[in-house]
Amino acid sequence: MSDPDAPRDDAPAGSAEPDAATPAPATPSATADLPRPTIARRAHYSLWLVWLVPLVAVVIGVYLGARSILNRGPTVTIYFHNAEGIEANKTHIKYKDVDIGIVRRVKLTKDHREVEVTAEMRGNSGIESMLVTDTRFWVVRPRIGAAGVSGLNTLLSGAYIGMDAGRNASEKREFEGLDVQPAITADVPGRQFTLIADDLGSLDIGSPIYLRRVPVGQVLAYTMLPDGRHIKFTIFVTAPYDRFVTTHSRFWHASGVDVDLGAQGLHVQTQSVVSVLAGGIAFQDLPDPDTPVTLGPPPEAPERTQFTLYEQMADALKRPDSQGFDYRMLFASSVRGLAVGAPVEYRGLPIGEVTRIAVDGKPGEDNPEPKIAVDVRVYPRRLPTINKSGPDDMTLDDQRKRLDPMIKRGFRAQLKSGSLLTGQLYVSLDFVKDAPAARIDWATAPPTMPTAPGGLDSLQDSLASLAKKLDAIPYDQLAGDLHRDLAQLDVTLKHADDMIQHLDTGVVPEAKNTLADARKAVEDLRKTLGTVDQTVGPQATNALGEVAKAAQSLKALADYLERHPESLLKGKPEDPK
Amino acid sequence: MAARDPATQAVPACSALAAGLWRCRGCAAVCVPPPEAVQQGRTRCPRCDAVVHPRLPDSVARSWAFLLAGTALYLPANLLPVTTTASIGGRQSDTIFSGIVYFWKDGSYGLAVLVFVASIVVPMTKLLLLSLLLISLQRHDRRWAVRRLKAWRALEIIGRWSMLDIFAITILAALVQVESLAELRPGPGAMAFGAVVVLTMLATHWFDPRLLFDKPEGEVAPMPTEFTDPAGDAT
Repeated sequence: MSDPDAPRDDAPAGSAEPDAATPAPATPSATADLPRPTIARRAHYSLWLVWLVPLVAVVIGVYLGARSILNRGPTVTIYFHNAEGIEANKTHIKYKDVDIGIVRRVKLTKDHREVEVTAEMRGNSGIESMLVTDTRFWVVRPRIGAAGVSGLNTLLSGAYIGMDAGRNASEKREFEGLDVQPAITADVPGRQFTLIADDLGSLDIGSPIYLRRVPVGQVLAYTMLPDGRHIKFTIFVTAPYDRFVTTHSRFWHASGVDVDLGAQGLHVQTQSVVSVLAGGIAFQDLPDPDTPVTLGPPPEAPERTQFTLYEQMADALKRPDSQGFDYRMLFASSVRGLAVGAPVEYRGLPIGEVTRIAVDGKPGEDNPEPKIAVDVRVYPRRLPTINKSGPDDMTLDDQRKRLDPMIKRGFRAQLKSGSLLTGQLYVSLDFVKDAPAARIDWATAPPTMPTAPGGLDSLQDSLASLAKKLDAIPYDQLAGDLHRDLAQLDVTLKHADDMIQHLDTGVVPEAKNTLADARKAVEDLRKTLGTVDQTVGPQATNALGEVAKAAQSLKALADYLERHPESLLKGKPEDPK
Repeated sequence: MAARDPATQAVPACSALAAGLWRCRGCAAVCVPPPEAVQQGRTRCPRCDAVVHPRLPDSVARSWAFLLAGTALYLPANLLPVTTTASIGGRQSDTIFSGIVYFWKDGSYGLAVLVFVASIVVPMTKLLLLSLLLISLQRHDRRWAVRRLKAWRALEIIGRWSMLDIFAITILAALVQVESLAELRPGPGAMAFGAVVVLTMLATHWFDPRLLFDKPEGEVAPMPTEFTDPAGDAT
């Protein structure tokens, strides 16, 4: 405020002018005394300059407005199941932890089922190209799982919405928010594959994928297929391991501990401890035995190739069963211990499995003793063959040509016990000696293969015949005979006893006397020997001394003669002494 | 009191200009302009050496210029955020109005009203009133001159208080700088708002209230040449 007293300017000038002595009204006489202003040089700039001020202001205003409008990027709408932790104007959207937008509005959808979150992205960051159909949004919250702990920073800062930019080209502005953070974001190198399984097992989003027990990927998602009978998994294998997923790869549940109690005994198969706890999927290449190793590894599987997820490693690593033939076998004996899936073996080599066990026809007049029909599927290609000849792809006619002569030679199906411990049965195909003649009934569908009692059947039969023989033994008669024999034995023993008593009383005293006499005789003999010793001994000693002396002289003579053999002729020379 | 002028509702008074006197705005000395000063334009106060002129040169034009500039920035001042608060709870941008709403919701009704008056009502009133004054001046509408004068004086006095918001933001921005925990930064709206306040103050300053009482043409004294000359002086 420059001039609050401006109105007083119009009052007589003298009141504001202390120098003016006369507070006179503005009369020409009074003004004559007033000082006169000095005239200064005229200013050079003109009025239009002042209009630069609003111009600049408009420019600044337009700039500020434009900048805030341009900064305001595209608006996206994300639907979440709940808005836990999301607040309007506070929750940010982050991509790789870079702030790229902010939530402007949180409200329920019209049907009150979901939460509609409207977010405003930052402009001029090229964000439009990131908002494409496969872009994903999720709320980052603290999360503790088997795979680890994440999002701890949001404990203090509050939740934020994470984004994973997609790779598609077509843009989109409305998204379905994920409930949980995806394990793998689009920028991680690797490939996705699809697995089809019968059940979920203990798998979950984020369950690890193992290749030779090395964790190489994760389960991204799973959905139930529309048929309600299969689960479709989307898995991600990170580079560089993704190249090990080939067209020959087999996947199986590595969840927990696989305990397999089958005809082949007890099998326990585990992966790492983490997968025992959290579940997982393992995969491995199944080399094709028909392809020589020299051809190198099999081709890599392209992205999103679909594989089957097997229940167990053993299932997964079975040879690919390209061609199977169904046969029916009618057994008259119990099939207790035989299960669907039990192996069919040819001399111990598995070549198929039991597919169905049922009763053959309804019991009736024409079928008084219904047999058990065991349907099996045989995969001839499973047999590892050396010196293979002939084509692999066989028709049923080829089968017929091969099988008929074998049946003639006694090729039969038998039920055999795989393990005495568990009582599991398997179907054994083998040649049975002296089998009654039979042939495959090719007319039925599937063809009926002749069977032979085997394994437990034959064991049971022989036991039965043994029992019959035992039954035929006349135990009563045997017992009577035995009784009589025993009575006789009693009498005999009594005789023996009498004899021994007789010996005791009659023979023993006499024997005593005899022994005393014998002792006396021995004593006499000793006395006689003692006298011999006293009388003959000294003389004999002298005589022996003489003999020794004689022997010594003889020895000296012999020595002498050896040295001086001439003395025999000349006689002993005179002693020179 | 003498009878009031029917047009201006003011007590008729002899204006200095009409008496051939100029008054210095710097030291309020009254001087008699020499005849050549009227033609050559620039004169200086014999006492304080300030530039002396009978009325503020180009008062209406300059006032309009600043007023329009203020109006141009008024929109961004109110639409853009004046503060950006970053804390562990997240980052938040507030416009003036959202701040008022926040205070009101928070229960600080007094604060909300104060900020509303100082930051919304006053600048708006200034813009509207000043443009009304200028329009009436240009149309030589001399009715209610005294009331208009009083309104102008009120504008002069209140205007500066609109800076309240800016002061608050400045002080907070300086104080709230806790590394990574909390941070308050002025937004683009604060700059625009400050500019609005300053520009409206300038517009008020360049409004010469004496013009309210000047009679149209040469009733008592001829208008000074500077007043009509578009190339006026600047002080």
